[in-house]
Amino acid sequence: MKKVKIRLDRLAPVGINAALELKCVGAALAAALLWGSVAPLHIVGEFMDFKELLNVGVFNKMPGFSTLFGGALYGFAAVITGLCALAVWHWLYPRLGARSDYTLRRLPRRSERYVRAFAIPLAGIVISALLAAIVLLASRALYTYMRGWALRGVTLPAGMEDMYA
Amino acid sequence: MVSFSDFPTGGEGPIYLRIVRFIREGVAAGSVVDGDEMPSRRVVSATLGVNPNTVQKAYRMLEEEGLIVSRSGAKSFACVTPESREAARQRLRAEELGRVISSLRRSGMEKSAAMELLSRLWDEDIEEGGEEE
Amino acid sequence: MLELNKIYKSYGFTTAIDCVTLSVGPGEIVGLFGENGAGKTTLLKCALGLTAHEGTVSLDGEPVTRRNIERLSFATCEHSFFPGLTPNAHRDFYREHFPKWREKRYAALMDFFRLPPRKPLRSFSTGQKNQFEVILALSQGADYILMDEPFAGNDIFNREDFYKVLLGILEPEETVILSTHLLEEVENFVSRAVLIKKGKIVGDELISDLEDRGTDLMGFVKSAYGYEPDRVSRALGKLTGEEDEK
Repeated sequence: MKKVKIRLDRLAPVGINAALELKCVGAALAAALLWGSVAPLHIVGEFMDFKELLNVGVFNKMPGFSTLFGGALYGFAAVITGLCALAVWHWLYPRLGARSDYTLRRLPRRSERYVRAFAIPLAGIVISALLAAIVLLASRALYTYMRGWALRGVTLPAGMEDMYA
Repeated sequence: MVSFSDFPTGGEGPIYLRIVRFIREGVAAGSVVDGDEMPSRRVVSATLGVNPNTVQKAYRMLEEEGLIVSRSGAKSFACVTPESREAARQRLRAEELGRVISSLRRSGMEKSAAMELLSRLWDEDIEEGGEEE
Repeated sequence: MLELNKIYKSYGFTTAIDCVTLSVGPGEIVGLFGENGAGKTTLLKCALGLTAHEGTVSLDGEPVTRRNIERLSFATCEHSFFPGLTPNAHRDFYREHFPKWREKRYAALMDFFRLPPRKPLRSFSTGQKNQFEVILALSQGADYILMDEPFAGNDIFNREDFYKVLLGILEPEETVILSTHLLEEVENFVSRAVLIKKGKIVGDELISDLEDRGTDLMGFVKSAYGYEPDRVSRALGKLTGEEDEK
């Protein structure tokens, strides 16, 4: 495990515990995912209510996707904003306390200072975006399915077809 | 091995001359004898806190004076003969007298008066028990 | 040979370095002297590529790139180490990035200055921090060691020890450029004196040549700076209404 830790430490600025940061970023992503996962549950719930009403002849307006989806992606937006701030802090970190940026800028391996500053924030942002896309697409698919399920075997009164188009 | 451990701190003049004088004094006083190994330039440099070029300059001057000689690569050895020892002594005496003469002349003393004073003080010194070598 | 050619650097409207051309060869110990703000620090940073500038810096004819930058090292009073790291961790970092790292020299210097290898640098005293900063610069395996007021805050015994240790360990091919205001102290240590005033070089002499001309570093600096020894007494004479008899 020590070797893995050493490899990981190269991904964060010198002196910052990369493993700890990765855990925190992971936790933040998990929280954002949790937040986002409310949307599918909400979609299912709303459509089930909607179906019940249809069964008793109440023809309400079908809930739109964006209304149901709501702020599901806000968690990811917050994480991405936080990771941008982290990137800035990482970049400025070598100048705090002493001018270790002078050393980093003199290294034969030029990529070192960039990798250390941006690896974790960038990885976090990419994963955030991916997870956000997954949540969005999954919710969209679920919505389409639930819509079909709700309207199955239901005879619409005349003139109301376009409401549920 | 010739030692620089009691090299006088804070003297006058450029340090390479002070190094030369130090060795010359050692030769005159007999603490540096023929065949004594001279420490390497780097060692002297580190001991005195002085740039190696300066030590090199001093060593070169000592070589020109015949007080040291370089043999087998980077090693130098003191080269003292009775003649060179006497010459070193004379040189030091000349330097010291030179300093006294400059000082007396600056105070406006004439040569004849100075010679008289020298003679009188010399005799007094003998009487007080100073040995003549 | 480290060559700085027609270096210009300005911050906004202030010119920090005004057309400086300087060559330093292997084995030289160069003292870079000048008053505060003269441009010593800026010049060193230009040489290291730590600040944008006009003009070229070359090592043995080649521009300074990632291929040869390991040949330059830097010790600064601002401290360029990682405050959260221990000396041991620094050693590992440097060993990884600088293939020519001098382990024996590092160990010897750490031992000589009795620095604790497992305490983070931020817990060191200022004097110890300075010492470690210089140790890193000396152990990197560079050919040209650039130092910017590295002894700010060290007492005189410390500094004298350091000059002596340096002279003992430096190899004939290693070059030091040391910017300092401690003129008298380094006079015997350096082989060449470069004076900077308002971003320009106003003097560049070998100490040996100064000696041959019967002057010393202090005299050289004074004349290059246009220092008038009787300036103070003349001013005082005017102030008190007395005539000065020079």
